[in-house]
Amino acid sequence: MADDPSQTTDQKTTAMLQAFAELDTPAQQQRDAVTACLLAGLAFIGIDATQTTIIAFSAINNDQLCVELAHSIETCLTNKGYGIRALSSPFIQLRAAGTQMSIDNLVSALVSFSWLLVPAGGAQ
Amino acid sequence: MKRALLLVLLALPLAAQTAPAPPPGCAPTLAYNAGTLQWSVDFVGCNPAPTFTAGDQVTLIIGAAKCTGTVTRYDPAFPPIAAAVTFSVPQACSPTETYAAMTAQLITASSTTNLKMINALNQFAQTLSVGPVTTGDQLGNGNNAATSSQAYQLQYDVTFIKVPPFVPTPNLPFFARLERQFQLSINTTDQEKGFIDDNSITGGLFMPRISAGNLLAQGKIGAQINYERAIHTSDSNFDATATVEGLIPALQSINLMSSATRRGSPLALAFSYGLRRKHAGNTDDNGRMFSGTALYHLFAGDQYQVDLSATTTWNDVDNLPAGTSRTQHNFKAQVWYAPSASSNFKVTTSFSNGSFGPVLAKLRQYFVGVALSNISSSVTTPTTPPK
Repeated sequence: MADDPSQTTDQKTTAMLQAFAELDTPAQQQRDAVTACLLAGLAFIGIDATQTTIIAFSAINNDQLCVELAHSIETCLTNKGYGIRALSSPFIQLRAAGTQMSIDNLVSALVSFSWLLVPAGGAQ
Repeated sequence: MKRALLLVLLALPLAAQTAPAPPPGCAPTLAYNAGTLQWSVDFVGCNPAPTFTAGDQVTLIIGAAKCTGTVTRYDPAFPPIAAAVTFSVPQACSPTETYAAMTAQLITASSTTNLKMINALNQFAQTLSVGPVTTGDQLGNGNNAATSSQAYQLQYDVTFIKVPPFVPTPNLPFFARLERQFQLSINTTDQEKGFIDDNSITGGLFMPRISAGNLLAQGKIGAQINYERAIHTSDSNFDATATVEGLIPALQSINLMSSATRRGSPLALAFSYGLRRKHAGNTDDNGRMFSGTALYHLFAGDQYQVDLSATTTWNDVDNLPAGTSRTQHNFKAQVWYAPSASSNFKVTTSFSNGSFGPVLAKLRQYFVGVALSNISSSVTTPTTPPK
């Protein structure tokens, strides 16, 4: 970015903050929250994953682990201010189908299932 | 007589279905969100699935509680994930108030739907596999010669688990803070000799969700009793043991020649130690026993998944029959195949080797069959809504 000598320091700072704000949209914040909660949930059931990992649900040992993964993600997202449909059944369905899914696609699915919670007293 | 018993066992899962019959493949499930404590009903296999709008009223009957809930969200199907409705309920129907419930129904304006409770509180699952097996004894690998090289194998497993709530629940009795398990497992054939005949009933109490960083995840410690018996002989074992099990995150599943890193559960270990009462022939003897089981997944290329499991048992029971080993080992490899790097894995075949259950004979058999799973009952019946 070329430096504009006509701008004051305050103007430059404001422009920079605006640029960062545009990157950090509510949608991106939601996706970041879902990603963090998904990776933490996978760690909770012993799976060490990164954003490039593919999760093979057929290799998750039992339905109980799917339930534990679901509840871990649900509580994490609630703490970050997001609601989501109960995830136990979807994960069990993915396991029964032998689905393999990248973390990126899994995050997209979870984002589509989630919504921003409004503090008590507000409308959802 | 034995064949009649097999027929009865085959009929067991069918008898467990409750009338009236559900629409084919439709099995709605009930689960809760541990953060918001809202319920979701997933319309698994229901085509078309009912649709809802935020603000709609639905009635949930769970155990002895009956509440009117408000729909907060409807998610259409996201294949392979089914459509779901999520709704909030008054405190009386909250997951923390209904942890002991065994049955649930969803009532809408047009139908009453029995719900399968797949949640952490109560789980019930059945699997049934029937198919031809071929004995490995024809290759000279066994010492329990089969009278036939072919048999029909029946594998039936039913599991009932009550798990303590994931969320803090006030006034929860101590007993309800423990995980309770009951399991019935049948693995037999229509042949008396030369094939696996390993059947068991197990009950256990565990303290779940123990973790220790990278050393242990989802650990459990507790006690269980196990009765295993062959159907084609009277040989049996009765064990009362202390049990420790868990996942080892430090040993993740490995990928061989894969273009991407795939992950499933890491190495799973289970150990139990306790007392055994053994019945063989006309005698009963007592002793100590130890059992260790390991389960591990590996991926090869982008299209194969291999599940490896091994179990070793040892006992010092008195007066074992001559030629009977105090140590038994068994091993199973199950191969899954995915036609492409992103398609679903399906089981293609399995291979078993070793000694199984109370019949202390070395056996090897190959299985290619038809598997039915999750056949537990869930019924949707259109009815007149209650006044």
